[in-house]
Parts: sequence; structure tokens; C-alpha cells
Amino acid sequence: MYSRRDFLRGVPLAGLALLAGIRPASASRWVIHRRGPAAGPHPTPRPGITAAKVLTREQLEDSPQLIPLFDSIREIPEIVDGIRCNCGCADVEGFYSLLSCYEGDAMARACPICQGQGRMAARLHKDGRTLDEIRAAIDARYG
Amino acid sequence: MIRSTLLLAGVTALLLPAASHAQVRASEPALVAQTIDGTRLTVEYSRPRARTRDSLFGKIVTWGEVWTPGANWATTLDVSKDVRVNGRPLAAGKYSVWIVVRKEGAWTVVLDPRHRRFHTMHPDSTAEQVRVDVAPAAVPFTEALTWSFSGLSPEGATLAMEWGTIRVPVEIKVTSSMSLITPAEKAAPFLGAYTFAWSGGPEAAKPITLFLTHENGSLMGRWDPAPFPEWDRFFLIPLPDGSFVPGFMEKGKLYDVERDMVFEFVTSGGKATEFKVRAEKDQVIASGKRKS
Repeated sequence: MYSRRDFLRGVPLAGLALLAGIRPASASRWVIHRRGPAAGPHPTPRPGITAAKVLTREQLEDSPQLIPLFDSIREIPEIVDGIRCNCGCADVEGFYSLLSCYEGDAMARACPICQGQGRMAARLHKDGRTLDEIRAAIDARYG
Repeated sequence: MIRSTLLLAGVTALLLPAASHAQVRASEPALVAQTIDGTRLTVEYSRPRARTRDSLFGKIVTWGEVWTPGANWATTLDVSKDVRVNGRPLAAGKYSVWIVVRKEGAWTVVLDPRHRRFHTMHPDSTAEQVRVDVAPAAVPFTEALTWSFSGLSPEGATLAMEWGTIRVPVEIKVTSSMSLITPAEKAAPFLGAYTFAWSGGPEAAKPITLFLTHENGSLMGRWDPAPFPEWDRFFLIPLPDGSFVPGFMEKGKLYDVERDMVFEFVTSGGKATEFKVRAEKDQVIASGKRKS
């Protein structure tokens, strides 16, 4: 049966993708991750943090639709490193911040919450919001 | 010789594979959990069976006894956030559960923060306990003692213990994570009619009007035409950052909040002029402009 959730999570997104001439790279792109419980305070950005480990255009060949998002994260590592990820990955060993979701195995390749928080952080930073304001907005939306 | 035998038995026990520790128990351990509006409620207990014993209450469980409704280690209730139990506040934490059973009148459920207690360690009365009166009810026979959650609503649920022909219910109310109330002065900038267009998919081309009104203290939305019958009317619930999420209703009551459909309004001159609706990935899935 065609439900409200089907509509919200499928139809508009699939429609947008089709309009853009993009097909999902794999079914995993549509996996729904759920927000985890609030994992604690936002991390403090590590001094001198860079985006050196953020996946590159070449590493995202199989997911070209994600290249603009990863590029936007690459521009603001000092901001993204000060944000907690609310998908639950913050509890995984080796994860420090939302920036971690865009490095190495890059959970943001598949996780809509990692993607949503990253996209929101980049958008609000572009609007001139401070790190604290971005954190507050992300908490309101994803916390 | 005896010492050697005991030593051998001990070593053998240590070397046995873990699976050999599995055992049939008269009262098997069980767990039932329910999350409501972000509050997780967990009951851990062992399940005694009636085993042809009649008159469980008044005989197996004697009148006046402070009894843990389970077996072996005391049944526990773990609440992840503050709740109310039959109207009484209960702080987040883990509690051992006891019931004072009486031949006549109300029974008393006792929640004791000293949660790790064997069933024989009946708790004395302390100020830290939460005690609520409950009305036992007669129900069809239940062989194994059972805890369950029923009557779920966005505000809470009924947690009940059943054993034999007795059911003991308590009402649990959770702390709401959001308020349906938007004061009139805060709702005023948003009231009116808007165009509404989905960003993609087969629904994108259909003209829709979104009406926002203030009713009974809440900011309400209504689509015309509604994408689904259940979307006919909905609450617009304020988030701390000034955006809103829709809360859908059934028979006039909230039953589901769609956190992945966030309305962000742009205001100018004290009035909302347009909005975007963002989904989980922060992408815009719909937008609209003020008509009137």
C-alpha cells in the first residue's frame, strides 16, 4: 500500500533524481538510517584539522551525485569537526565528529543523516551562521 | 580424595563449553521494552508459571506480601527519561518492582531505586520509593506471568502484569519531546494561504494550496487537495530553531510526527512570504509562496 512515508522517502527523491538524470548507484543509497539517541555534547574542533582525508572526486566515482556534498565539506573541516553526528556513528570507535563520516569508509556515502547534517552545515555556514548557531540548528533538526 | 574430586569437578566446569550452561528454568528470564516519544521503558523479569497451582494470589502469593511480580531476581523497570506513573513523578533510572497484594481494596505498586535485589529481599519502606495504588482486575487465565504494554498513545501507555486470573495495570505518561502549542502572536506571521509544490515525482505538477490557521492554541495546516486522506489537517509543531514539523492526526488527536519534513519559512515585514520543506538529507522536497 502506498503510504505517506513511501511518498516522502521515495517519490519526490526518486523524481528529483530522475529529473537530474541520475540513477541510484545501488539500493543501499535508499537505506533509511534512524537517528540515534543524543550522544552527548558536540566535539571541539581539533586544532589544525584539515580535510585531507575527505573522499575525493576520484574516490566517489560510483556516487557522482555526492561529489558536491563532499566538496562542500572539504571547504569547512574546522566547522564540520565541531559537530556531532546523530545517526549513531558517533559511538563507533575511531569516529570523532561529523567530519569522520566523510573520511575513510565514509558513512556519508549511504547514510541520509550524515548527508543531511553535512548539507545543512555547509548551507548554514554559507549563510554566515557561526559554529554554535549551526550546532543549535542541527540539534533542533536531528537531535 | 574428596578434595581431588572437587578440584576435578571445578576444572571440568571451567572447561565445559558455554552452551552447556544453558538450562531449563521454572521461571525463564524475559524482557519487554517499549519506546514512546524517545522515552525507552524496559521491564526485565523472570516468568513463573502457574503449573496447575490454583489460587495463586492468597496462597502462592500471600495476602499482605511485598512480592516482586516475577521470580528469582526482582523484576526491574528501567525508564530512560522522567515519566509519571499513575500520576506520580518517577525520575529516569532503574527500579526494582514490587506489589503489595491485598485480599481487599487497592494493591500498591512499589518502585524501589535499589534495583538489584533477590526476590526474598523484600524492601523496607523508604522515601526514595515511588508507591502508587492500583486496582487489580479479573481477566482470563494467563499461565506464565506476563508484562506487556498496551494502549499506546503519543503520551504514554498502560504497563500491565498478568498472572493467573489477575491483571495489574499502571498508567505511564512520558515527557513530551515537543509542544503542540504555538501562542497566537507567534502563529500570526504564518497564517494565510500558500501555494504548495512538490519538488519532484508525479505529484510535482499538481496545484495544491496550503492553508495555515490558528486553532485551539495550535498552528494548523490543511492542504487542498490533500495528497492523502490522512494529510487533510495537521499540526505544525514548532522546533527550537523556528522551523516546524507536521504532526498528523487521527480523530483529532496527534498520532505521528514527521521529523523528516521540516517547514522553513522566510519572513518579511513581519509576515511569512514563502517556505521550503526539507527532508532528512536537508534537500528541498517542496516549496511554496504566500497567496493571501
